[in-house]
Amino acid sequence: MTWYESFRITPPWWQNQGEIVASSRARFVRNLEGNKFPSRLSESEMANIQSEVSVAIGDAIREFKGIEINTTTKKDFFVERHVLNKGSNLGCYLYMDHAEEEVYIINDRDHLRFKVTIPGKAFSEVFSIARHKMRILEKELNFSYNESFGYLTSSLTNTGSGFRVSVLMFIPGIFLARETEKILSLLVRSPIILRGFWGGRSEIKGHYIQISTKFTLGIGIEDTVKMLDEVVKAVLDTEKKSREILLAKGRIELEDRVSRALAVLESAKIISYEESLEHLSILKFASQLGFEGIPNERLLNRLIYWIAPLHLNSLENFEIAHNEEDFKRAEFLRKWIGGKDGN
Amino acid sequence: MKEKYCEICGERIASVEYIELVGGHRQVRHLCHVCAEVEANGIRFLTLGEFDRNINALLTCPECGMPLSLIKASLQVGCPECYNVFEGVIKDLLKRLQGSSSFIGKEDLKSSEEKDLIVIKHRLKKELEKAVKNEDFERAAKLRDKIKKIDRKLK
Repeated sequence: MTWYESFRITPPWWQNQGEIVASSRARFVRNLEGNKFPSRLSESEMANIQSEVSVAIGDAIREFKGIEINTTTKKDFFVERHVLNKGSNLGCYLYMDHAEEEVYIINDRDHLRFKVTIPGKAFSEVFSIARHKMRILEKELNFSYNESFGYLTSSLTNTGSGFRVSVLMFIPGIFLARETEKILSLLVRSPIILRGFWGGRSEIKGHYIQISTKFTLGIGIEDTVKMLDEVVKAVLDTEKKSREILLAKGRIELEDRVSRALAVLESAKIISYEESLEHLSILKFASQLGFEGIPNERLLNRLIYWIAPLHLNSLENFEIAHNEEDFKRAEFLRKWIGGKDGN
Repeated sequence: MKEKYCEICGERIASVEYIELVGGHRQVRHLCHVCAEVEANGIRFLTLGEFDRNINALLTCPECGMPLSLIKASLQVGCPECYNVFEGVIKDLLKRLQGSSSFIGKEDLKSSEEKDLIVIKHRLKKELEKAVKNEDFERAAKLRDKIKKIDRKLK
């Protein structure tokens, strides 16, 4: 069996995402006392860390999938899957449960990175699960810790608690009603950061944004989570209001955009990832608003995941020639959206 | 501030404070880097920027070999010992990045094990309901075991 066959399913946390607050995530970063951070470790030292951490993860491991990230294809695949970051190290090792809710990453920028992701708005749950897991691991592992700085991490942006909570939101209403300024103003001078879900801060695609706590020093974790909660509430509110405004005042324009998106996806012969994401996102919005003749949201969620370059490629055993990708994507979309097999 | 010109050539900006001890007296002249080099018989003078860069490149962590210049540029450190070796600089960097350099989240992390277990149990119960509804009995059995485990800990 190839490594990607067990990743043919769309992760349940994505598939069951909430309507506006799609999912919540908590993340911890930790390092083992007395060891250099991964960027300065030799291969054999990295192997030692890996076995030490693996043993500590212990019991859980039997139910977990383990994947060595030894090629850039694998790495990029898991970047698309929101498990790794663009800057992740080749040579890191993943353990994840079958639902991909709990992910342990060994020897990425730090010795251990743990993420827990749950659909919908669930800050206290992700925080509690993450804290609980760290507490269990801390009994087995000696984490690098210093009285004044807290937990020591390779990046100075994580020093202290090494902890972050983030939330993924689907906010097409705010984008289409041009209310983005409003949510940006919420974030000024707040310890909260905003990013596009795909790519960096500047390239928000598919109307998804990620909002995350920023500081790991100088502020209590519970306090930052509370602030995140306030921002999320305000964004949620703005999104709901924007949707009402769009339906009341811009219905024809909206219907026009939806019909165009549908037409493109049903009939394009060549389509880029970015363009298809944009159209699928509009259809998803229309589906949430109860428009007729639109594919259901679960199918759209799935498609949004599988049109990403490496996921699309994995369906064809990574045999798609570079110049054929956009052609294959259009074929794939025509089949699912248009109900035609593409021939 | 008005730029000063070199006291020797009068053409270039005076970028070097050239200090000499002449007969026990400290004599200060403001020279450009070219004239200063000639005065000092070819010793090369560094600008302040160059001086900083050179010093930082020379300073490395004895544990992992990470140069301070790289820490400053990348905001990454090489090992836990870097935090001790470059404590002052790292404190400044943290203050700039995070607005503070002191960890105050300890209590949030250590305490309330019970609270976490209650939250987790609540979530497992919700999943159990879903599993039963979907007639996924294998998963339901696993979830039940997990809930029992937590109940034992909470007692």
